[in-house]
Amino acid sequence: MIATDPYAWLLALHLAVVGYYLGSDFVVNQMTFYLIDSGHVTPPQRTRMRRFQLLCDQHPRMGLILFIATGLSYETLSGFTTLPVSALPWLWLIALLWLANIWAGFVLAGSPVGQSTLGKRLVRLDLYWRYLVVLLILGGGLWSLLGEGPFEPGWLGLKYVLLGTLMAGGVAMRISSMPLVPAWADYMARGPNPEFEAIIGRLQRRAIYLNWGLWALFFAMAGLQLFRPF
Amino acid sequence: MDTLTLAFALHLIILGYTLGSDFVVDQRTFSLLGATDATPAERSRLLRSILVSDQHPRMGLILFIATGITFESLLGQSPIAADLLPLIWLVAALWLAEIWISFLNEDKPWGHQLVNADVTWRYLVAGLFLFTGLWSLLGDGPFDVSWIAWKYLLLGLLIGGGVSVRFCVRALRKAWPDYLEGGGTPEFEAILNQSLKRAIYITWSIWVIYGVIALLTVVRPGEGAA
Repeated sequence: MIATDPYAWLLALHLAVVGYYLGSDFVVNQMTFYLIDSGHVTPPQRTRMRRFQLLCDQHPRMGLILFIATGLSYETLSGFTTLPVSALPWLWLIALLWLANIWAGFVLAGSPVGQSTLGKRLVRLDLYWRYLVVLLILGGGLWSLLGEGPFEPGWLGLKYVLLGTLMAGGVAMRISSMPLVPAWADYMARGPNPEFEAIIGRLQRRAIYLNWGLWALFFAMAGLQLFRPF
Repeated sequence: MDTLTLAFALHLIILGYTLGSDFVVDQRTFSLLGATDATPAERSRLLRSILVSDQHPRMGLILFIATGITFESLLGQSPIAADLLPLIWLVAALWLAEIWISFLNEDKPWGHQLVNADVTWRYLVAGLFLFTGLWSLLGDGPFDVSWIAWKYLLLGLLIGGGVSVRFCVRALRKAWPDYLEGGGTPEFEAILNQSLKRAIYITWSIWVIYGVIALLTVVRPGEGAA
């Protein structure tokens, strides 16, 4: 089970990344409650709080990318996918570019001097890319469960269906939080008001509940990975 | 899946959980340093929120120790026999309960005593791990294989580092009530900066130790006798 071969390393990394994603997201989730309950601070202070929360949210976002890359790599080396081993360097190149994009998008789209066009484009690119990945992963998982898809054992097909659902949930969270952007601009201009508190409370609580669902999916995926029931 | 593989998997998941949550807690500590424009009451609320978050890596450490002992025992390379594992988990469960009870009741005299008892307990555990690790590496200690001896030596250092963070913030604890009453002063900001930055640097060292322990657990170098 434990050795210095790449399989053991990838499995170990994959498991540690599950913990990394969840551990960092637990704290970020807690920060969301803190943000909701901060109606008494000044708008610039709350904006800084929000920006800081989004910075911390980069951890689970990186965790998801690393979860996909380490998982697919070790499943390919185990012969569980139709992906050739020679494709793994490409997979990791894509993962690195994706990681670079989420950082570049974050830094450029929310820089203190204002949102740059390039940053906004990168954030939009990330969203479209996620649509594609969700479709690929959900499609591959469902096809494997129902027919002759790319994932050989049934549990792996189900894992990718859950992963696709998780990513779709993450995208849905982002879309459902979009009304917060214009509301925030209005809050900065008008100052604290009950309407904004209602909007931030509703949107952020919805995101929190959705996030709890994503954790359940992560736990289910980890269970499938460990127990491989079918 | 066999119990050994499950214990190994949980040990690594817990490692990731501890580090992942601690990375964000560490980042939040910087936000406390930067919140110079916040009122003392608001900064206290932030500190309280960071301390709640800090319960995650604290729970992670306890679970890391328990899953590690379980894994090594099932591997047949620990002096703790498998039939003693329920006892290990009972101790871990009590320790977990204690860190929450003491955290939620720190303002009460008995809660404060419980916090002190937790520090004493950590001294004991750190001392035990350091001693048994060193003894196994240099003599006839309880760990038959060198990687486990190294692991416990490092774990002892790690726990010791964690306890030392509490000492780093002692001056800050004393200065905080005055800050709440009289507001911020350059002296208070200096104490805050010095205390928290020292704590941050120790935390970074703890992460490195966690990384080395993870490498030892996965690679298991020097399988031979310690």
